[in-house]
Amino acid sequence: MFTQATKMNIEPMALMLALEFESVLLRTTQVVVPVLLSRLEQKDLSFNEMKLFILQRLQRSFHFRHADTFVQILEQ
Amino acid sequence: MLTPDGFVFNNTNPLMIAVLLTDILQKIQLQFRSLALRINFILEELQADLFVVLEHMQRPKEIESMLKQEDFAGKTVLQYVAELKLFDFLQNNHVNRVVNQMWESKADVGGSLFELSTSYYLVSENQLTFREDNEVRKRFYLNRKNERPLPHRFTFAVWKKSMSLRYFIESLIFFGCLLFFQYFVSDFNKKLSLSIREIKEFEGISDAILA
Repeated sequence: MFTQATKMNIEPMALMLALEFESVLLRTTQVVVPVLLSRLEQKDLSFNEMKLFILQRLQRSFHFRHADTFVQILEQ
Repeated sequence: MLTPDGFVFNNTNPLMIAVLLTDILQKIQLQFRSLALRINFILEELQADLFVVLEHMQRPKEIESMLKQEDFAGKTVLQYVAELKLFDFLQNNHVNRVVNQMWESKADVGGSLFELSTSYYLVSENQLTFREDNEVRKRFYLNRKNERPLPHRFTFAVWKKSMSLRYFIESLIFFGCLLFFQYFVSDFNKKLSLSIREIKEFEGISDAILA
């Protein structure tokens, strides 16, 4: 549901899910974070507070490739 | 993506975006040391962009509202700035002005320290002699000429009960009267018929005697 909400740009729902089920999302970062990062990579969608807040919550369980992708996005 | 235009046009609060990004990047930096150098470059660019954004904002009120805006965890931009130790950001003229204004506060803090104490005010300033004392006025032994008891909110329910009781008593009296009169009327009829019969008998006897 979280990934669907993120893909459909329904960020308030994604944020609510992240707040409610943070522990579940932290255990599934390998599924959840790439979707978020792919949305950030799109040029037409810039950063917004909700996405960044979700990333901030999930940052604890980042894999190296997630961190690397995030830094790459910011370097572009 | 990290252009001032992107900050200004695509976000309601670019300062919040900047501090959130800085927070995430600093945490990643601590987590993965190999990315430290790249992240340092990004942070420098981010800070430079942030100053450009601040330069574009001329209204102190706008900057103040942005600095005081809370994120979803209830933390303001200023709290993030303090946590992330972004002292260069605080030294910016616009931000410095706003922070100084917040430090000085708009509230008037003049006057004596004792005046903040309620007890001191009650003892020194509060003159009860010129004021009506409710406690004295409402003592139970005083006459209450001018006071009229106000109807209670549920008075209607009391009226309803009292009316139904009254109707009940009235119906009891009605049925009592009914029984009473029924008894006396039937008794009267019985005695009347008896007396008529006896009168007739007496008439018969008198006729017999006279004959």
